[in-house]
Amino acid sequence: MRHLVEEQLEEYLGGELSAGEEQAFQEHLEQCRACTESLAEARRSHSYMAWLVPEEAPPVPGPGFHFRVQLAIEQEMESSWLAGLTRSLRPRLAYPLVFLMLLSAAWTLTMEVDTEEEILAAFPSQFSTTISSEAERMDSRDLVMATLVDLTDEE
Amino acid sequence: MSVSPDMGVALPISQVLAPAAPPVEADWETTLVRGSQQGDPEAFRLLMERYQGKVFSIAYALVRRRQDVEDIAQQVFTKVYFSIAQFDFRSAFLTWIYKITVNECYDYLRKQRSNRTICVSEMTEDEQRKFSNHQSEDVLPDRQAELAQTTALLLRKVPEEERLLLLLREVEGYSIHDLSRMFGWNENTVKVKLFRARQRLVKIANRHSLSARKA
Repeated sequence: MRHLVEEQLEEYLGGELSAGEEQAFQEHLEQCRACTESLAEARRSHSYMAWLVPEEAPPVPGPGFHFRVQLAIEQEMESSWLAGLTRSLRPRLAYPLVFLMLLSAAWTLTMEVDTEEEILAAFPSQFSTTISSEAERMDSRDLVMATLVDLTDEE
Repeated sequence: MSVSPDMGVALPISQVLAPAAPPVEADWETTLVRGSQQGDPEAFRLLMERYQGKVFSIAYALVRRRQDVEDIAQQVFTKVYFSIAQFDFRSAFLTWIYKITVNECYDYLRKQRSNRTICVSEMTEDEQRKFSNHQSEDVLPDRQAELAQTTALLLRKVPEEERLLLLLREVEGYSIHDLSRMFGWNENTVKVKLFRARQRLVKIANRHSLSARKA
C-alpha cells in the first residue's frame, strides 16, 4: 500500500493540501494503521518543536554589538597568538613549524651541560698548565723572586 | 605581448567579458564570504549585519534568556570570524552559521542545565500531556521557557543534519522548496529526511519517559 503520510505529511501539517487531496489523505488514514501512527508521531514532534517558537519577538542587537564582537576577536587574537599563527598559516606549513619548535625545545631540555673539569680538559694544554702541588708552587715563587733579584742586580 | 588581430573575432564578446568565477559565485553573499575569508573587515561587518537577526532569533528560541542572547551571538560571530576560512561553499552559508549558533546555544545550556532546566521524567502526567500537545495557554511564561529548553535538550540528541532541518522548518518556517535549495536535495529527499527526523525526536522523547503519556 502507498503510504500517503510519508509523501504528504508536510503539506498536511502545513494545511497546504487541496480539499480533494485532504479528503484522500483522510480516507487513506482510515484504512492504514501505519500511516495513522506515523501521523500521531509527527503531530507530537510538531508539538515539541512548537515550544521553541517564542510568543514574543526575539531581542535585537544593541548599537554596540558590532564593536563588542570586534573587541572579542581582538582579545581572542591576543590571548592565543600561537593558535592565531597556526590558523593564519596553511596546515601544511603550520604543522612542520610546530614540530620544529617542539624538536628545538626537546633538544634544549635534553642537552648535557659540560662540567668545569670537562671545560678545563677541553682547553688547549699550553694554556691550562696548573700548579699541582705546594712544592711546585713554592719553586715557582722562588723562580720569580730570583728573576727579580737578577734584574735588580743588573741595574 | 602581441595580440592577434583575429582574437576579437575568435572569441564571442560575451565570453570575453564573462567573469572568471561561475555565475553562482557572483552573488553578493558569496562576495562577502570570500572577502571575509581574505580578511576584509568591511565584508565581515556586512556579513554580520546580514545574519545577526537570524542568530539572535535562533539563540532566543533555544535559550530563552534575553540578557544572554547577545553574549551567545557575540561568541557565534567570533567563531565565525576565526573559522570562516574553512567554509567551502558546499552548503548554504546560512546552514553553516546556523550550525555554529545551535552548537553555541548547547554549550550555554550545558552550563546552565544544573539549575534551570527541568527533566522530562520529573514532569507530572498533566505537564507531560501539555508538553506533548503544546498547550501553551495553560502554562506560565517562565514554565514555557523551561519547556522550550526541554525540547532543546531533546533535540540535542537528534543527529545534527536532522536537527537543523527541524529547526529551519518548524522554528524558522522555511518551505520544503527553500530547504531543498539550501541543502541541495530534491524536495522528496527533504520530506523523507524531515519525516525521519520527526520520528527520531519522538523516539528520544519516549525514551525520556514520555511514552505512556501520548496525546
